[in-house]
Amino acid sequence: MSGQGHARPVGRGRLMTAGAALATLLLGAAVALLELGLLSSREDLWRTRDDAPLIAALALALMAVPAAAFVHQVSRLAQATGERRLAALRLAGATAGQVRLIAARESGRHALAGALLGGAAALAFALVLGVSPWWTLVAPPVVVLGGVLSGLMAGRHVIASPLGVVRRARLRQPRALDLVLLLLGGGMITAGFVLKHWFITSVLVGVGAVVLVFGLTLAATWLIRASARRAGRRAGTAEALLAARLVEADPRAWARTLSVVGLTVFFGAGVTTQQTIVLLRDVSSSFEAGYRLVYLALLIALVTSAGALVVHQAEDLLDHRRSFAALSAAGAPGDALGRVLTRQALIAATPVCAVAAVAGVLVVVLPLVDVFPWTGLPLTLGLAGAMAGIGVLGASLVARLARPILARALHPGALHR
Amino acid sequence: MLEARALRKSFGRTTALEGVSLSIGEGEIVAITGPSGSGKSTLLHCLAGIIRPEAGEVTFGGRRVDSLDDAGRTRLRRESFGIVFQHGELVPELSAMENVALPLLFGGHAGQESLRSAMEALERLGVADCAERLPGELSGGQSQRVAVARALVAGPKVVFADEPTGALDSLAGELVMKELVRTAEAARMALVIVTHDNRVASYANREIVLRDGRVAG
Ligand SMILES: Nc1ncnc2c1ncn2[C@@H]1O[C@H](COP(=O)(O)OP(=O)(O)O)[C@@H](O)[C@H]1O
Ligand SMILES: [Mg+2]
Repeated sequence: MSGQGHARPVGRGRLMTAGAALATLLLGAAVALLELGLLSSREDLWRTRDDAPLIAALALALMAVPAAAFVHQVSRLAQATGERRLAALRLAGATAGQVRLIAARESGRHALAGALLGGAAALAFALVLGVSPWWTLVAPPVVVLGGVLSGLMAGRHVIASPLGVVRRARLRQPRALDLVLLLLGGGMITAGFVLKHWFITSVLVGVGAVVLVFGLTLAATWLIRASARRAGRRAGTAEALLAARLVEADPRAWARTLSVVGLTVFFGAGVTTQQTIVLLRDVSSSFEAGYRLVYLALLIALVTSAGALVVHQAEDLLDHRRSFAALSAAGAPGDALGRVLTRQALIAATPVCAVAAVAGVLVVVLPLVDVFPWTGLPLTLGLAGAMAGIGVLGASLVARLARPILARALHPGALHR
Repeated sequence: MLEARALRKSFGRTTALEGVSLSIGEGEIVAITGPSGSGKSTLLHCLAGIIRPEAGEVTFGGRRVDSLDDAGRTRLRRESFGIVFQHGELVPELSAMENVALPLLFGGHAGQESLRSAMEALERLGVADCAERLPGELSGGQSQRVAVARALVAGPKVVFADEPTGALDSLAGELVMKELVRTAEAARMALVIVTHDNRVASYANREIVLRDGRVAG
């Protein structure tokens, strides 16, 4: 109801362009780095180990999944772009098809602008690295396609029922399908590792990871909402109360962005556990290059998902521009509102990263219970804890990065209409 | 108690205020009226210390407001002023009671105590039955009364209201104004109401008319 004037669509459009640019850059950079990793590790890795392609596939999947999730996140931003305006078009007599086309053209345009910018940056990055730049050119079309597709799907409920622009307060009940997704994703990844063919494996691991992320997102939604409720009950300050209620109202958005962080922590904990076992049992050192590649991929995944988190927080702030500006006008200190952002990230990220780290350790340790070097348990747990810590820390750092956006949102100009 | 002298404020090339002076006494109810774009909201924001004028000065209880830094003005707004906007601008994810408790919580009051005071404020405005509901579940008149409760809860000396009934039908608007004026009078708060509705202005002891950023009468 609180009309946002003209500021909101413009803000979202710019955000969409910036997001698309970042997604393109990350995707392009991931491809370039993978190329570099394959080139540099070919000597010791490719000749000596038959499961080296698996590691490469795992690395590629690790990089592609967050990039895809990020594009999706940015697309959602396009989707939200003027839901009200789409509804208004429908009310003014446009058909559902016409509205879809308008939305697709708009989000496609922003995605294109961003993809061109990001593509140029990725190209430059590949040239600096000294790898063939051609592969990085895959990134821009992927991002543009994502933008157009998301535009076509934009505001589905708005298009179906123009008056349906109410807040999505109701949370879907859990269904058996959510569990099936987890099993399916896990199954595909396992199958990929069993098959050991570099192409089939990367496809299975990649698609399996995407399915897994969807399943995890659904599971994380519940975890995050429970965490937010708990935080809300114990909240004693305005920051704590606001943070808890904001997360509780939209746990799915947090789950969507954090599932990639969670996946990164999961793989990170798993890989460090495995590496600990390898080190302690003193198996061949030809793993080294492979681990470097995987850690590189994990780092990229973390950075990418951090990007998705920034987008999410920016979107959240745009949504709350007016009510936050009103709080600020009523005397809420700016840094207290800044702490709301950090707290939100902590409430949402802590349970997700903790569960992911535990799961990552268990997945590696359980099949190896009989050969696991138990003296290494403290080290394993410490490393897993560190992985979870990195995830949580990353999320809260992102919240700090979003503070300048907050400062702009709190500007009294936001009250002007 | 609240005074402004020769205020000037412009946004880019539009001059929103030019040489505005006024004085508001304790417990006084003042209406600021004038056509749309005449600078009413800008004046309100300058008086309330939300924005700074380019020239002129604002004093509250003898202390300069406009020369305070950001933190100082934030604190002044929290402790001495209350503000109501046209659309309430409640936080949609918080219940009515939690919304009303926010100014107290931001002021460092304890959680339970803040919620209790919030409940009392809601009772005074006749919307106690809405305490647990989210703003999206309230009617326009109800949510505006919740917004008024939020502005009054910390016991301000001055309450600023920018078109508080602008988004309501006349019946709901009447009710909001009645409750606002009654509560403000009971606590001897000064009330500065921006409006272009004559019926709203009729609640005031005094009317200040703005035209093109200047006081017209
Ligand atoms: N934040 C702002 N940015 C740009 N122009 C503004 C801003 N606030 C007010 N103005 C301009 O200043 C003039 C007075 O605005 P305002 O005080 O909102 O008038 P009123 O409340 O009487 O309708 C208008 O021309 C308006 O467009
Ligand atoms: Mg105005």
